[in-house]
Amino acid sequence: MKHSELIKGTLSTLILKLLEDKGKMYGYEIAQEIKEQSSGKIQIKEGSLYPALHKLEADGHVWAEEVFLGKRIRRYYHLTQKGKTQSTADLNELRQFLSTISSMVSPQNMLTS
Amino acid sequence: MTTLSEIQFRELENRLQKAGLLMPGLYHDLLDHMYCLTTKYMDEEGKSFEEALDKAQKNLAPDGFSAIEHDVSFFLNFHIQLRMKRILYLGAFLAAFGQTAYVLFRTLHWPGANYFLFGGIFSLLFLLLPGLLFQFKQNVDQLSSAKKIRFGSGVAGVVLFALGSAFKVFYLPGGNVQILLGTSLLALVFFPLYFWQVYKEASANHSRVA
Repeated sequence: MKHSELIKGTLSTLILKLLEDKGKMYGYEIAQEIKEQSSGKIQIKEGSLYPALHKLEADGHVWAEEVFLGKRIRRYYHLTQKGKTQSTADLNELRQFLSTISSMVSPQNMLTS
Repeated sequence: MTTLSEIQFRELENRLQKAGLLMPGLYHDLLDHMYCLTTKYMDEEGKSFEEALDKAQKNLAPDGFSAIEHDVSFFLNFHIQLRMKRILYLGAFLAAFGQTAYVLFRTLHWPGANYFLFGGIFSLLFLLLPGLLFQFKQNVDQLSSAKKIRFGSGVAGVVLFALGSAFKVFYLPGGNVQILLGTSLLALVFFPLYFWQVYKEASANHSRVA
């Protein structure tokens, strides 16, 4: 199954949901968490995480806290108030969409159509 | 968890610095991500530092770190790019319309031909050209040398041709030379490259599908 195609439109929503649940996360941690929570079924291209993350930051949905780890800087992403509102709205929209798709592709529906 | 030595960390930094990333936030994100992936492969798969680093880079940035920055830039500037494209297409339409109407009016000896010529040149210089240059600047890293030459010859050819036409209308010296240079660039460089590249892309698409 082409998960990467299906995940494209929902990556930002997934990131917002993870940040809402975990409080703060860094990029690598987000990528690992998505893999872990989906039992490895969702294998995002790790590089594709950053365009979505930086867009969320530019739109004011998340903010980055920079922490020094020796010589490198780790950027922990936090949800803003605007991001929390967006997350709720996006999740509701996604659930409704999934419910609609689910009812359309359910075996019962397929048999009657 | 493995900690990278000073030399190993510098090697990691060098890989990213070679890409010449311009966004500091993204640079720190990718450096940290590369660090985590490299140490993970060293710990879990027993790979040497070099092997782990290569695998991390292949996993995180198969098309290069600058491709990720390009994607980030595209996401962040999407609305600006959309606006620039509208200006570009409007400029292209007005420039083409102006030039075509000029040729028609002039051939049939109708009055007002020069207005179309100047309208077309104005659209070319102040709408189409800035739009094209903006697009070129945005995508310059992704373009092959042949495409850069095609862009340069196309823009120079059209501008020289348009300015040469205007010079001739005002009987200014140098009009013929500009038209000659412009048409030569278009006919000998731009069009052959354009049609060759279109043919190559069509062949590549055909091989991928067939």
